[in-house]
Amino acid sequence: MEELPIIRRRRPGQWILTFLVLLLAGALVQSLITNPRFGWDTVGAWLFSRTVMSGLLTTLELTAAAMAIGLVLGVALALMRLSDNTVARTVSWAYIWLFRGTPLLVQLLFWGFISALYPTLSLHLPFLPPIGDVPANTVITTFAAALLGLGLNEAAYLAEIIRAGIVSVDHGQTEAAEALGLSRARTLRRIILPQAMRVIIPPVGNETISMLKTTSLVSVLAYTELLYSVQIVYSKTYQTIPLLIVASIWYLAVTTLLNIGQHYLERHFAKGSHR
Amino acid sequence: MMVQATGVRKAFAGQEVLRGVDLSVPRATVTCVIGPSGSGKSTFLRCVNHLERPDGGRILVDGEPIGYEPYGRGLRELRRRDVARQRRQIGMVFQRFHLFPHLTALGNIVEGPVGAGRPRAEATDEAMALLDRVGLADRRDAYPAQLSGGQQQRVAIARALAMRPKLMLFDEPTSALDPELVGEVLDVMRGLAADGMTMLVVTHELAFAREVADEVVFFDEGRVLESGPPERILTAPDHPRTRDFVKRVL
Repeated sequence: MEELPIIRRRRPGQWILTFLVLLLAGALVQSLITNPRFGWDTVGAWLFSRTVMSGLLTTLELTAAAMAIGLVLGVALALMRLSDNTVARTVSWAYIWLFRGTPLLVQLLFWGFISALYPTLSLHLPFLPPIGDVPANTVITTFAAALLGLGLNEAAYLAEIIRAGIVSVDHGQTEAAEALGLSRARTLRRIILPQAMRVIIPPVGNETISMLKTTSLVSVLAYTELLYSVQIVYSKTYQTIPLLIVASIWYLAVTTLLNIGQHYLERHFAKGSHR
Repeated sequence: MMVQATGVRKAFAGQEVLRGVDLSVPRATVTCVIGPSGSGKSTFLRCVNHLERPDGGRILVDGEPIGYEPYGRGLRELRRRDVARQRRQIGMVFQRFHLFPHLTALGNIVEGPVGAGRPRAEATDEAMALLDRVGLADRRDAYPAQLSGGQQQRVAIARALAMRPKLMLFDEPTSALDPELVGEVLDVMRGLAADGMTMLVVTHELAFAREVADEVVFFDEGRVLESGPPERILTAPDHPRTRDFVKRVL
């Protein structure tokens, strides 16, 4: 039989849609350029200013530190939740119940105002003399309060993500590792977690990007991160929109970088999953 | 005796799966366990390396009670690390291979010995020799998903052998394979048997059992119904249920 060429089907709908989208995008760009109230010169003036840079740095620090706390504690909570030890399971369940069940804003304020609740920090165990006695405000600084609020809350969410990842790995993998006589820690580190990563990374990437912007909540503690730094500026200059655009540009830039990082992490942990 | 099991019992949610299994495997022999599905063959095999906890009875491997130690007037379960130490001497091959998908063929084989504290270089040399033995030396860097079922099962056998076990357990090693791939796995097992490995094999391959086994054990409803040399069990069994089963499978 004679070989027939394959002719691509025309898709007129797609052409019409492309035209409409370009039209709308054009209108948007035009208004961005022609509307003077966007204040692009103001945006340019503040984009790399010292105030904004230091706010951005604080936001990055908070995001990294809170996610680090969340991940370490989250892995621990996930393992406790999956353990056959009843006490560990219950403690983990209660932690997640408490920290997922109350608003983050409340938790942040709670840590910020901890000195109202416990003016001094010391540990009183039954039958033992109290251990330590320090003013709460010297230990729980604003930075510490922000970090505790964000990190401890995040841990509760990450614990569930990590648990789901571990549970998603076929039980045969654990059995094969056990049959080889691998220790529990090694089984987890070398066999289970690397496979769980494929399920864990996308939602953790999501959480990281979310955390980047959630850090703006710590402005309630008067802690100067990116958003609060531009708020301070526009409360004096009244250039609200241009300065919000400054903050947004930086949030978008960092999110883009995080997306790229996530792409490479996913590729790394997809090893062996393709033919 | 390499394996000596007496009165092994196991129930799942009230359902009795093993009702007092007595079975011995002499050193350097091959014992094939046959029987209808649901007769408890696999459960018994999994008790031998304590992947399943027996509810009663005793299993000795090379004279050592598996999974339990004498305590007062009874037995108590060993610590995990002691169970792990016992398992290192017992190789296990699963029906569905259970290779580690994120590790290469070589990585799969090296993982056990390195986890047991052997130097990686030494374990790698030995792993290469094992890959050669199962005919896959050229696939050392392939991931499991890049291997056929028969090749995966051969890597799984090499992985178990890397622990230098004194006993090998096979849980229906060819049941998940396409028919044309069964032969290559049975060939490797034949070679092992010829080298004097002690093997306990749950299988439906009666031809293999007839050729390689020193003893064939017929399981039915959680008990050993009869056992003996393959010629007798597979051609002239005493029990009508065995006769029925053999006739249906052959």
